[in-house]
Order: sequence, then C-alpha cells, then structure tokens
Amino acid sequence: MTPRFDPTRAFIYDLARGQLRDDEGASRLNLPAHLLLRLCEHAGPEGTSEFAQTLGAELGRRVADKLGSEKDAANVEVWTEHLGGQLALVGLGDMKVEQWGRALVLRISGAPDGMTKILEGVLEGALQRGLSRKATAVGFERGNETEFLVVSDDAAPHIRSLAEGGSSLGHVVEELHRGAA
Amino acid sequence: MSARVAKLEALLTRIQQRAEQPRPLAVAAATQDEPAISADDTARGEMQRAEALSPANELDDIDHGPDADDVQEIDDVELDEPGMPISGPVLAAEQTIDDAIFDAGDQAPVTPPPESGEELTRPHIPVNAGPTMEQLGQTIPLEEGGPQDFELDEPTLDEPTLDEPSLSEPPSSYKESEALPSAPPSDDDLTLPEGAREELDRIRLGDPTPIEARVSSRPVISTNVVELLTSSREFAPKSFLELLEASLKLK
Repeated sequence: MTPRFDPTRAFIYDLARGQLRDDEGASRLNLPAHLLLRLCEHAGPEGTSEFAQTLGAELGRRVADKLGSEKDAANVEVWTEHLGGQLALVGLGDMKVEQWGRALVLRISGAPDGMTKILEGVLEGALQRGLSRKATAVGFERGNETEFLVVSDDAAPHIRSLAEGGSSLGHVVEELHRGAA
Repeated sequence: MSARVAKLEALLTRIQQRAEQPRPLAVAAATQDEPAISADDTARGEMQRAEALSPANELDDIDHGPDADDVQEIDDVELDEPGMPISGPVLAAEQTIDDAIFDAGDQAPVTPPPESGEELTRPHIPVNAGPTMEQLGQTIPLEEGGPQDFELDEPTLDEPTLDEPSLSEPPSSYKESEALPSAPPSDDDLTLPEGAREELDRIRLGDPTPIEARVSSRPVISTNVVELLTSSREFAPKSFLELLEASLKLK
C-alpha cells in the first residue's frame, strides 16, 4: 500500500534549548525569506542554482525514501501529494501537477516573491534525486503563481528564450508538440 | 318548645328587617377597600352578626333571654345538621332563614351545597352583547405618553419599501417589448479571459487539436481526495515517471 504523506512532527521546536530539528534529527534554521534572497543575489546564478538544487535533492530524497520501491510506479497523484507536501513544509508554496498533452507542468502558488529561480533549481534537484532523471524546469510567471515546464536539458535553452521573449506556456507547449509529431 | 319557636321567629324577623336596612357607613367604607364579598360571605356575616348580637340583651328585652345552651342548640339543630328529622314549624323557620340569607346577599346567586342535590344554575351570558352601560361608564382616560424618538433603519436593496419597487423583480406593468436596448459595452471594462491568449496563439498557428491540461492537486492533509480538474483524452500516463519521461522527450 502506498504510504501517505505525513507531516506529523516534521519539525520540532525545542524552545528551552533554542533548537529547531526535523523528524530525522537534523538541525534547521527558520530564517526570513527576503534574507535568503539577498544572500542568493550575492551568491550569483550559479551559486543560487547549486544551493537550490541541493535543497531540492534533499526534498526528493525524502520522497524517494518514503515511497521506497514504489517511487517509480507511483502515479501522478502520489507524487503530487509527497513532493508538494515537502515543498509546503519548507514554505515554498502549494504545488499542483498539470499534464499539457505530453508535457509535464508544475504549477506553484503561494511561494515568496522572487523565488522563481530558486524554485527551478529545487524542482530540478528533487526530480533528479527522487526519480534519477536529469530535467530542467523553465518558469513562466503568471500573476501570483508560476508554471514550471519540465523539459530535457537539450530543449531547455530554446524554451527559455521563448519564455524570456514573452511567449506563453500554451504557445511553447504547442510548439513542442509540433516538433515531437 | 313553642316558646322557643316564637323566639326564633322573632329573631328571624329582626334579622330580615336588619337586612333590608342600609348598612352602616363604616361597613360600607370597609367593603370598598377590601376585595369583593360573595353572597355566601354576606349571609355568613349576617348569621354571625345575629349570633354576636348578645342574645341575652336582645332577647331579654322581649321575654326572657335564652342562655348559651339554647343558642348552641339552635345552631346544632337548624344549621349544622340539616339531615335530621325536624318538625313542621322548624322547617318553616329554616325557610325563613334561607329567605333572609337570599335577601341579605343582594339577590346574588348562591351556590347550593353539594349535599342538597340541586344543580348549579349557570348564569346566562349573552353572546356578543358588547359592553354594558356600566362598563362604558367606567372608561378610564389614559394620559398621553411623552414624545418618543424613533430611529428607522435605512432600507436596503433586499428589502423593497412601499414607495420603491423591488429592484430584483420587474413591475407588473413591465413588458419585454418595452425594454430599452442595452448600451454597447465599454472597451475600458474588458479584461482578457484566462486562457484567451493561448487559444489565440493556437488558432494563429492553425492547429485544430486543442491541448487540455490535466491538473493534479495536493490533497488536503488527513484526507484522501486528489483534485482532478480536467483530463487529457490522448495520453494517460500510469505513473508520474512515465509523464516525466514523455515531457523530457519533447524538443
């Protein structure tokens, strides 16, 4: 039976000792989001991407550990529950999984502002560590939420240029399907 | 025995005369302050007054006053024990006492004792007779109250007033043929519908097959519900990994 996502005692505040630990006993820090963004600005794109992918790998490992041998066969709903739950625990928003034809789109809402680049790295790291697939997430900001189209590393530069040029997600997906046909 | 009957008759005659006379002023004033007295109370009061009138003084003036034993005997025989066989003159005296009691009660109906076997005659109450003249004469004028300030709530749209017709319902005289033509929509109020740009792009590209998004939402904690907004008819991956691999193949 596929295990459910359980956030019980995911983080434990020990106020007497001034400590914050997760369910695995690892130390945690509760920091303001804008300070993390400021630190990432000083770290540069590469440093930010490395930090974000490391964080995502940690989340993907937790999902894979929880699902065990069922991680590859788990359906979309199970991964939505577990990966979305891990993202929600660290305050990175609410994730929905969308299927646009044959394209995988991860829609995240409620994340702190300015987190698009960090979220790209987090998703890439989680998919690589959780499913052993090298993927690139290209963000399309849309109001107070961001859509991340998951593509291969080869297709990513072209899609990123389309996104920076103002093309919508639907347009890009249509173009991808025409190329695949 | 006959002398006693004669004294009793004289006593009853005196009681009857006293009952016909107007009551003393002090008693009348007392009855105004006290609650209403029933006919039984009035008759009982007369009897007690007759007994308290110091029979020695009253009866002694006539012949020779009866002693206390005689009075007690009268009470026992005539009032407290009505079932005892009595002679004719005594019966006549009882009827005289009853007449005196009825007269003293201002002709008010007297409830017969239950052992008498008589049925209670209910007074006839006229239907819809309206107030009597006595009742109308007792009308009490009420003083007008002081000025009062009333605060009324402002009518809302949901509560149509008498002067203003309801906004949600057309008036009865409304005819559809009389409806005014609607004004053309202003371009300033137009907003781009969600997905309109993608649809426009799709039409411009000339692709007639639309791509529908199949959305999977994270279930609410402690529930087992996964929101599925729309579904794709063409490609239905069995696992998340299969969908990921299909997306990675798009170039």
